[in-house]
Amino acid sequence: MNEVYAHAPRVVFRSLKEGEGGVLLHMRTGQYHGVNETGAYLWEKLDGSRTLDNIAADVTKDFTNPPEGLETLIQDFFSDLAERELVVSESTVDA
Amino acid sequence: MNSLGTCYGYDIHSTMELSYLRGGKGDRLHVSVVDVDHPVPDEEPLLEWLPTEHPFGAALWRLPTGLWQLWVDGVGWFRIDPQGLRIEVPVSTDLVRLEERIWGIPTLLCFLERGDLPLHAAAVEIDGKAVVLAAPGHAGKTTLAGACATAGFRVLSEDLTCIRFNDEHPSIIPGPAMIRLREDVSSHVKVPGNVLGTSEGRVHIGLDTANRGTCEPVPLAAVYLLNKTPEGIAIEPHSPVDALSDLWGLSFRVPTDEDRTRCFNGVVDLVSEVPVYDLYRPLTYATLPQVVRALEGSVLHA
Repeated sequence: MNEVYAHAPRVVFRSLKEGEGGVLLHMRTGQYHGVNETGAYLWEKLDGSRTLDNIAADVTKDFTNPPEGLETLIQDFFSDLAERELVVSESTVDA
Repeated sequence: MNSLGTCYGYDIHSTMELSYLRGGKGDRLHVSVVDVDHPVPDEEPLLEWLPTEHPFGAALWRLPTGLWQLWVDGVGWFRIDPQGLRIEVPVSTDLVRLEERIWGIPTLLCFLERGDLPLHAAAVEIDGKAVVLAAPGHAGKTTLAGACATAGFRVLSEDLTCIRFNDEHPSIIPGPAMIRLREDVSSHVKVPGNVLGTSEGRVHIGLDTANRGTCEPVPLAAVYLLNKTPEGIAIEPHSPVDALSDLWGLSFRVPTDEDRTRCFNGVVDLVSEVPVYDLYRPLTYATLPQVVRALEGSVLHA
């Protein structure tokens, strides 16, 4: 979990009302993508320098009952966003 | 030029005879007839509406001067200056059709500059609150708006709705006081007003002048997405994320990142601040009064 992702260029994010997550719009494709509240939290944690391990540590700290298999869920979430070209892989930080 | 009345919050000054205006005040918008055959701009249009997919063909350019130039098949060239609030229109003998085109893209470009959100939808006023009736073309929104007018409610816009966010709560700025019912619909739905003509398969009606009101903003209570069902009438909440998809398809934007972002933010604001419902109803004339009553009940309890 030492990968680093960043928001892809030409992607706009807006959060919805509390509890309703957020939406992402990819300018090039014109397609939008909905994310739930946890997805919106994870999106806002990306800054292009923090590893997925760092983000998982934040989740553990900020959520009362983080789900089991948290690391896998986070990895899958960002892999899915990467496939949709909503995030880009910046680098892999050596452990 | 004289002040003739208002539309989308503008005080319209023109030498033309215009049939769809409301009362009240607004920022001055000049509409003038110009007998000039503008050359086709060298660059590709920013947007194009094909007559095979839309009621009429049209193309829109942004000129280096910042003005917009619009071609409409069968009507001619329009030039729009949204900052100077001026619209130049071609000479035409069909004044009704010409006026209807003015209250489309040309005025939309002006209120877009003002910061309002255009939506391809109808809007009516019920109990002092505005409701948006949204659906793709041929889904019955004009028929339902007409039935609302028959029931005594004010039609705020028939096809292009202007939504404002810069007040405390989103509101609708009333558009032209018109409704264009399909000819077969007009024999079943009797809208109070004057028939101004019949063309393009539609009866063009100027709404009753006594009930047009002004262009003062009307607080927006809810958005209803129209759905067809074989029988029964139901109104159910629609999730904001799913509503975004529907409303995105009904919004107007030019293909630039800046305008897509503007439009995206506007639609997200809309689904964030206003409840969105699915309105399920059969597409029958007999049930229209019940649909209007269900809509009224929903708004009164909102």
